[in-house]
Amino acid sequence: MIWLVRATLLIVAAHAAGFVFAVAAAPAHAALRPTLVAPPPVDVLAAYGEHLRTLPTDPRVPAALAAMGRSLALLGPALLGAGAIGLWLAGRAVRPDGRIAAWAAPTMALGLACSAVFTGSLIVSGWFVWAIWGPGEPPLPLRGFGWDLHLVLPTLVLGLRAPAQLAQLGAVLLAREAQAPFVVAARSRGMPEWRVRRHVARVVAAPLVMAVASAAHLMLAELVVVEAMFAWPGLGAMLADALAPARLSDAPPAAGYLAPPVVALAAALLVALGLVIDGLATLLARCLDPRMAR
Amino acid sequence: MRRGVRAGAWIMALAVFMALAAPWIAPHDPLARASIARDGAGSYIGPPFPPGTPGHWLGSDRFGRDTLSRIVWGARPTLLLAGLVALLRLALGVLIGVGAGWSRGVAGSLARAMVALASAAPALLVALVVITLLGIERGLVVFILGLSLTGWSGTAHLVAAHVRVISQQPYIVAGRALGASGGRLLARHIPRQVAPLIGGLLAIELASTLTLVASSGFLGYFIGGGAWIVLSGDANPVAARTSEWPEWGQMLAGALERSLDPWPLLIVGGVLVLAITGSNLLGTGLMAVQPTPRLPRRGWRAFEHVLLQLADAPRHAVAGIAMMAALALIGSAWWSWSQPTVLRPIGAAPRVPGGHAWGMTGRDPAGSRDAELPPGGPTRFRSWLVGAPFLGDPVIAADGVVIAASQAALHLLDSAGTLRDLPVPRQPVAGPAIGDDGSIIVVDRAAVVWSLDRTGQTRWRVAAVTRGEATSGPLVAGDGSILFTTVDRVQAIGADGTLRWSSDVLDGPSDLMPRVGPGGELVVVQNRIIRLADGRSWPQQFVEPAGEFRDPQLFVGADGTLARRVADSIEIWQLRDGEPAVVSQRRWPSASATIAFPTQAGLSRGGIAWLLYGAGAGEARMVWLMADGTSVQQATGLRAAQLIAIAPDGAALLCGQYRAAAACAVVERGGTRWREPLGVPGVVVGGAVADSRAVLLTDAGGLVVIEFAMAGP
Repeated sequence: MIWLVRATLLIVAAHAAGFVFAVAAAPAHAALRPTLVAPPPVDVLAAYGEHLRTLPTDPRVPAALAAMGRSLALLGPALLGAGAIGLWLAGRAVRPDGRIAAWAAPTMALGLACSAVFTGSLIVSGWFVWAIWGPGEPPLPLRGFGWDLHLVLPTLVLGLRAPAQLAQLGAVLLAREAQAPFVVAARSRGMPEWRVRRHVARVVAAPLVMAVASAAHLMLAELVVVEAMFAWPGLGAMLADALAPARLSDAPPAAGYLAPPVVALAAALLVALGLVIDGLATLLARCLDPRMAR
Repeated sequence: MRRGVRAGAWIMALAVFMALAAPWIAPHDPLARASIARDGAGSYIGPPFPPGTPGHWLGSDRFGRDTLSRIVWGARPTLLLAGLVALLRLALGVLIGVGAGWSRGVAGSLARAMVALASAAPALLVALVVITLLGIERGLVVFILGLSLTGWSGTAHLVAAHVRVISQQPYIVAGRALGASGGRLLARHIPRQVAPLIGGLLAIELASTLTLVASSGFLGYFIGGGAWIVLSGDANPVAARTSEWPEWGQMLAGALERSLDPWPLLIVGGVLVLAITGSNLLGTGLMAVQPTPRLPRRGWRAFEHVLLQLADAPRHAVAGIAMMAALALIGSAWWSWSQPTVLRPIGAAPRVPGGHAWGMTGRDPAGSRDAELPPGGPTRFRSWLVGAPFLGDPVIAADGVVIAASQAALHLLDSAGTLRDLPVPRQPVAGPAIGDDGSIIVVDRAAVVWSLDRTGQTRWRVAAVTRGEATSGPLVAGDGSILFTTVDRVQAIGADGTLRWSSDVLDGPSDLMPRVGPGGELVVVQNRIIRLADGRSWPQQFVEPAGEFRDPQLFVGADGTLARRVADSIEIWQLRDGEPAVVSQRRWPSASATIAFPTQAGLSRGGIAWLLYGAGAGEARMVWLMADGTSVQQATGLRAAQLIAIAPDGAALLCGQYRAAAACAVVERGGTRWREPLGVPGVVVGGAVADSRAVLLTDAGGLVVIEFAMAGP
């Protein structure tokens, strides 16, 4: 109950902060572009009150919710895939004696270093190189929206870094547990390895769920970059359009650029997504490990 | 694991070495733009140079900036930024984490609430918000603040969990039972337990900061606001914004713009990935290294222990050095806060409006803006509003009457302060000119020249030889000829309204006023010299400065010298054996720090060359280049400034925006003499100075007369 109140407060605060920020940032952004004229000063409180009054009928609300749905379509598969690969990697990295394999640390450090900005642009660049010097247009579409192959590249880039993080955390947890007395005792009594692993899994399940949640947070942070890069019309692209100043002096501003309602909605929904992930993870962890319920 | 630590340490050491030794190992200036190079086969190529080009072994970006030099120099801002942010985040995370894990009272709840808040807010968004609100032009400092505001929640979580476990340990419980205070327990036991985590957490924060900076660059948030670089040099230049500081993450973001040229992406991205991997390896490795075991007393193990201790000693030394470096970094960051060193003028082609001066001689066909500026400040402001936007500069006739053109009419202001409107037949293209006999000369958009008398009666009118739209207003040369431009030609009309000539086609469309050059026989416009006698280009084969993006502009100084501005330097020309030749060049040594071109340039009557970096987001800057090679740079405090008049000693009257309102200032080499708001709406579009008063016009129909005190304050 307290959690629900706190979450609601946080979402409302994010909404208000997004709105106020978009109003306050307009002159600063105008100063960044020689061709943009600074807008006249706005009474923030009155504007925010007006926005709240019209919120139930504002067509931007369903649009933002639809954008969130499209973002979830990337986040869900990316998280599932990254979770599976990360946990599998973590299992492979820990040897039965509880030591971490030599290949694990460099591999995971390298994986963590591959941020979406870098891997995404490598893929974009590779796509163009293939299209121009290769056998023809690559089979996967690069930019845009569609409930088909369009999903592949953004999901891939979004999910590329999380397995390394998950594997790193998971390996440490498993390694610690592999040296626990009950594991040694079980092994010495000749318990088959798969049963030992099942016991270990029950102990580490709850912290692993929290690790998956933190991987989801990582993805949420990269959503802005990935969606902007692949022109995927989700929540992240909405924020990128609203916040990114133009690159060319004569380019017209994007739709929704620094529009206070858009920034407010996108910020509130992003924070809400993060809170929902946290809440679900906590609930799941409590089910898996009664000690956490205390 | 140890091998990982060692590899990470080597990578980070290499980065630190690059940062320290950058001036000695970088082959080029990281901000200098090379416009031409020879490839391996010996033929000339323009930027971007591919890797393997002699002199640019890692290639260049599309503006010709050397990649290797930028990577080497980039180690400095990269490490400074990432290091400071990591330190700040670590300090916040550890402090708040200890509070959240230890205290069960109000402080603990507060700390836990802060952790919850910080982990709910997406770090990249918070960073962008803080950077925008504090002012991106402040450079590195706002990035440091923005990036360290929320990123610490992971560290705080980890430290809090650790401290919570410790606080339930038997020795802590025993300590409490013995009556030790909470503060004492905290001070004695917690730092020892948390300290081993520090190195690892620091390196992990380093990695996450490097990633975030790259993401912010991808979204167009560059340190210092980035630089506008001109892509085309015509009348309506298009400029692209790119990173100015060679920070690795932001260089990566810049490399993304060229998807078809993956080399910069691979090289810069590789460096960045290597750096992040290095700090990750170092961090996770340090966290996994076990604390040194208790001292064994004898034998081989004791010897081994001493070795281990010795191996440990450098770690303490390193920690001390790191602390000192951190202090130095904080100091230098504070210094850079107070010194806005980043200039971001857009490299618009300089538009020096008007051709008439106003001052002593009654006419200034050279457009040098030469005037005497009295030493005192303004004593009186008088303002008028007309219904339509003013166009270009006013002229001041010999009897002191100010004549200005707006979109609707001509406006005559006499010395008694009476404003009189004269209807114009058609909308003028720019400000008016005064003929020898005092007639008012106006050019309309359809390239028809009108000669009017003071009552508004048309004396004569004539259309240009080549029909087309007029792009700049009239100018009266020494022999009475009237000059103006139609898109890509200069047109000449005789003083009596006879057609004279239409010049050869210029290099491109021009809304620049032509200028009458040395001896009154030559007309200069863009990078072209035209003979006033017949309108032919002269000489036919003209010297072009090498490379693109040089934006050459010929002009005439107030002392009659022919000069040319090429990028950020000024060439002084003479006619030698009947041919124009460069006799000397004055270059602004810090020009590489500005990236874009001056908006105005000239030579004062005292022979001082000046450059005004007027447009763009930051405050305008004035640069004076003396004949002896010295130079002075001065911030003007105004944005979007243009130079209205310049005195022989280099003092300049500039008008622009101060706190979003039209304002003027007199700036001299020693500082700003005065700065005052004008109190009328709009942006100043033109002005004139004569007889210790300045006349200024705005695009919202404001006309302001400032009277100066003759003596100093």
